[in-house]
This record gives sequence, structure tokens and C-alpha cells, in this order.
Amino acid sequence: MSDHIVVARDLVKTYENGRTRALDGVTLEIRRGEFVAICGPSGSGKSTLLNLIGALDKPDSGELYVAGEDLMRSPGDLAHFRARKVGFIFQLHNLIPSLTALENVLIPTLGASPPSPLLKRAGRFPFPLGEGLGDRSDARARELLERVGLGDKAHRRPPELSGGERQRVAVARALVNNPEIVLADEPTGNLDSETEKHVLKLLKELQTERGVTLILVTHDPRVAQTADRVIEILDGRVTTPLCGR
Amino acid sequence: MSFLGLILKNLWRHRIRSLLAITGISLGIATIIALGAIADGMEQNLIATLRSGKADFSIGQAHAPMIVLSSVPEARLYEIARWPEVGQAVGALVAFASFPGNPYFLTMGIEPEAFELGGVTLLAGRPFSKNAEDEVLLGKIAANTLALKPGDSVEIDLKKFRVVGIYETGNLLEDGGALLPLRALQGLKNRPSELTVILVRVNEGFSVEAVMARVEREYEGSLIPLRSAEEFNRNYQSLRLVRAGSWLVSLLALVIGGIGVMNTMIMSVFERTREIGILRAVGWRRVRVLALIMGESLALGALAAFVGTFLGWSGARAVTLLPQVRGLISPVYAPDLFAQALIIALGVGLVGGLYPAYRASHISPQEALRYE
Ligand SMILES: Nc1ncnc2c1ncn2[C@@H]1O[C@H](COP(=O)(O)OP(=O)(O)OP(=O)(O)O)[C@@H](O)[C@H]1O
Ligand SMILES: [Mg+2]
Repeated sequence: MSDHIVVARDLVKTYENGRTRALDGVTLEIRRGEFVAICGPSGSGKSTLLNLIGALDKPDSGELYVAGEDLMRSPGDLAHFRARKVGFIFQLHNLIPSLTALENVLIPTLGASPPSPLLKRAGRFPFPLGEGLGDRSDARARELLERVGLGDKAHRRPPELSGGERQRVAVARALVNNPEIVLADEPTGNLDSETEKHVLKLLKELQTERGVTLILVTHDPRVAQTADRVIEILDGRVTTPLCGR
Repeated sequence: MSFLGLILKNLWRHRIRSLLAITGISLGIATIIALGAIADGMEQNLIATLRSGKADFSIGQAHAPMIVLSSVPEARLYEIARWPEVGQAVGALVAFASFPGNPYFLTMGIEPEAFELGGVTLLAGRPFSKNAEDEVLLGKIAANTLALKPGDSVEIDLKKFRVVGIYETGNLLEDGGALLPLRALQGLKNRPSELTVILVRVNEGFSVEAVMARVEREYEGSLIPLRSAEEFNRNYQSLRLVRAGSWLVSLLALVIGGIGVMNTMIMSVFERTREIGILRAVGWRRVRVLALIMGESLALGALAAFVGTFLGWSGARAVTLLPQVRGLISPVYAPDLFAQALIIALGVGLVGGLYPAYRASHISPQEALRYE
């Protein structure tokens, strides 16, 4: 296995039948276990790049390998890839408001089964009706909630949690399936600077502790500075990083 | 938390909306259950009415729209009674007559010789006397509701009759009615020489099937021999109409309920666009999203099946408590009726859920996550 978890060459992504060129030939490599910040002004293509890495969308052209998967050529919608390899954290409305913190953390475990072994798939497909409560994922979800400091709030619903607490639930959810990469799109964009620091510290700790690769999108230079490396995007291309300085 | 738990939580989240959808479907289901149970009850009663006692089979008019509208010329009775294989053949006229407090009283015209074949047992009093024109026997339920006993007199279709006895056949409809001498009823209804059915007992040593086949052959197109419940159903259009009506209601319930569920589910999917985007982002496959929405929709149907069954059952019960129909209607709750209701309710869920579920499963996570 190569020590690069993300390899992108000449990635192009357009929207609206080519009228919007969101990514215009992005080439980059990210090492396993690295903490990389992607920064750049609004509309520069940061989220687009993150979504391609997380297989939420497909590039128009170029090459993209993530965690051993050829995302350019893999058929289908790659839900299994997202379930097993990736954890997502978004800026806002990450959580399902009607579910408790614990249930929100468990959501990824209800979603997809690994493509093999076949038997396991047959058993869970497509209605794992009785599954969930009391099994291993439940214990893992509780442990993660403890780890992000919300052990005592496991049964609260998002409206009863503060913004920072909600993002910590999202962090726990991103880790519940033991992903290789965590992709965070402005995870602290809506928090005050105190809470922001706290959540960033937590993310960084977990990244080191669990050896996951963390790719964090931000347009805030102070946030970018906390990363091992900064990649700057401007008009859909990688440029010399300025925001990390 | 399980997948099923998630489905129920999602419905609970918009409980008013879910409740409205459930109410809509369950009213349809209730109608199906109530109509069906009452129709089944009436059907069984009619079947028993016209084929009771010791008769091997009965003969009615072919293609009559309704069994009480069957009309058989009395002359046929004398022809058939002469067949060597026929042990006994008797005629009965069934009509509705006006009794005090009930203008549609089930009244059967039958001669005393036919009591045994018709399964009539006397509980009190005596049978009609020879050539009596003004005597009536009351079924035990009828005697009870009308508060009459042998010796009393009663006005039937504005003519005075004397109650001479009380009988029982064990059939609710018959026991709630009255027996008149055949001639008397024919006169009262101005239907001389007319019968509703002929009851036939076949002599020992002859096959019932062969005699039935002979009836069919000799009176093809005018008379029909009937033995089983299914034969009644097949021959009598009214029961076919009731069945068709019940299926029509089912179909309407399916369409209206389906549209209601679809509307509910489309709204709910639309509101949850971002949420569904998140589900897809964290690795839910399309079919899992499809299953979630279909599950919600089917759960609405299943809940409506329970509520509707209860409502329909209570409704049919309430109808039987009405004094006007007491004794006339006894709903029959056949297992297939409940199965029919459950299938329809789930069908509504299925039909209503398909399109929203398809839409939900095709939400692009990338685009869904762009809108806050
Ligand atoms: N689904 C889409 N349809 C049309 N245009 C899109 C779509 N997604 C992104 N774009 C466009 O692509 C360009 C890059 O968008 P992107 O969201 O990647 O920017 P960003 O760097 O994340 O910006 P921000 O900091 O504001 O989040 C923008 O011009 C945006 O309008
Ligand atoms: Mg963005």
C-alpha cells in the first residue's frame, strides 16, 4: 500500500453543462495520517474537491485514487466506499433533529453493509430491522460520545445541544465506522472562536490518536495554521499557499 | 436503534401529518370491513334461508338479479315432483311484507308439508290448519321483537292474521321473519302460482348430481339447481354486485389513500432533502434510502389497517344494534375480509410510497448538501 491516501491528477469538475468550471486541473497528494487544510476564498472549489475525494460526486476527467479505490473508474455510487473509508463533517445541520445524539452517531452503521462477505450482506439487505441497539456499534458509539465529552448528553436531541456540542456529535459520527479519512467542510465555520478552538483541538487529538487522515476545508487562515500542511485553491486550481502564513 | 425504530420515529416526528394520512386510509379500510362483513352476513343468511332443512338442493330462477327476486312458475314444481328420482319437492315464496313497525319483514310462504324439508321446527302452538288463509307462524326472534304469542292477532299488509305458533330454523334471518301458508302469501302479494324456490329431496338410490344435471338440462336458461354457497354467489347478481361494490370501494381507497400517502411522503421527502443527503454521505446506499421511505409509507398503511379494521368492526356492530335491522343483519367476519383489508392498506402504502421513495433515493448527496 502506498503511503499516499489521496492521489489526484488533473482533476476537472464542471457544473451546469460546463459553464461553471469548479475544478480546473487539480493535482495533489496527501499522505496517510496527514492533517491537511484546504483553504481558499469562497467559490474557489474547496467543497467540490472535498466532495470528489469523499466520492459524493465524480470528476469529469483526471485521475483520483482515495484509500486504494480508483474513484474515476469505480462503477456505481460508491456508498460502500463512503461507509467504510470516509467520515464526513459539515458546517451546518449535520444531524437529524429528531434523533438523539447517540442515534445520530449510529446512523452510519444502519446504512450500508460491506460488499463482502456475501452472507453478511444477504442478512442485512435491505432491512436490518432488528439491528442496532445493544450490539457492538452501540457500544462504540457510546465510547465515542464519551471521548468527545458528551457521554452524559447521549440522549439529548440536537435542538437541546449547543453548536459546539452538535459539532462534537458530528465528529463522533464521522468516526463510528472507523474510517481512514475524515473530511471536514468548515466544521467550525459557525462557532465562536472559543468553541472553535475546542472542536479543532478535539479533531486534531482524534486524528493523531486514531491515525486517520484529516482533510479540513476552511477559509480562515488561523484554522488553516493548525494543520500539518496547507493546500490553497484559487479558481479551481492549486496555488502557492498564502493563507497558512 | 433499529431500522424499524427509525421508520417509526420519522412518522412520529410529524404525527399530525401521519395521523391525517392514517385517518384517510383507515376510513376506506373501515368501509371495506363494515360493508364486507355485512354483505357476508346477508349472503350467508340468504343462502341458509333458501337451502335449509333436509332438502338436497334447491332450484331458483336462472340469472335472477337477486335471490328474493327469483321467480319460478309453480307448474315447474308439479313437473319435477313427478320425476321418479324425486322423493319430495316443495315450493316456497319469499317476500317482504309490512308488519307493525317494519315495512320490510321477511315473510315466507310455505305449506305445512314442507316444514320438514325446510328445516322448520315448531316451538309453540300448531302448524297452519288446512286451507287456512289468515294464520301466521312467527320466528322466535320475530315473536320476541314484536312481543306476540300464539292467539294474538297481527296486521300484515293491512290484512288481519292470527298467530298460531312460533317456529325456529336456526337461521337468524328466518327466525326474524314469519311463515304464511303459501296460498295466503301468493294472494297477499298478488303473485298467484309463483314461487321463489323449489326445495328438492332426492330418493334413495339416485344421485343428487344426476337430478341436478337433469334440472339444468330440461330447464336450461330458465331454472338453475343450487347446492353450495359458491353456486349462489355465481348465480345471483346482487351478491356479485355487493362483491363488486366492495372491490370498487377498495379500489377507490387504494387510489385516494394512495394519493394521500404519496402527498404526505413527497412533502416529507422534500423537507428532508438535506437529511437524506447526509444519509447518503455517511454511506447509505440508494436502496437503503428507498427502503426507509417505503418502510415509512408501508408503516402508514399497516397502522391504517389496524385502525380501519377496528373502526369497521365497530361500525358494523353499531349497525346491528339499530332496532330496525336487529335480527336481519349479522355481520360475518371472514378471515379473508381482514386479509383483503390488510392487503389493500399495504397496497395503499406501496402505491403511495413508490414515487417518493424513488425520488428520495435519487437525491444527489452533493446537491442536497449544498442547500442549507
Ligand atoms: N451542484 C452545483 N451546481 C452548480 N454549480 C455548482 C454546484 N456545486 C458547486 N458549484 C459551483 O462551483 C463553484 C465552486 O463551488 P464550491 O462549493 O466548491 O466552492 P467553495 O470553495 O466551497 O466555496 P465556499 O467557501 O463558499 O463554500 C462555485 O462557483 C459554485 O457555484
Ligand atoms: Mg464550500
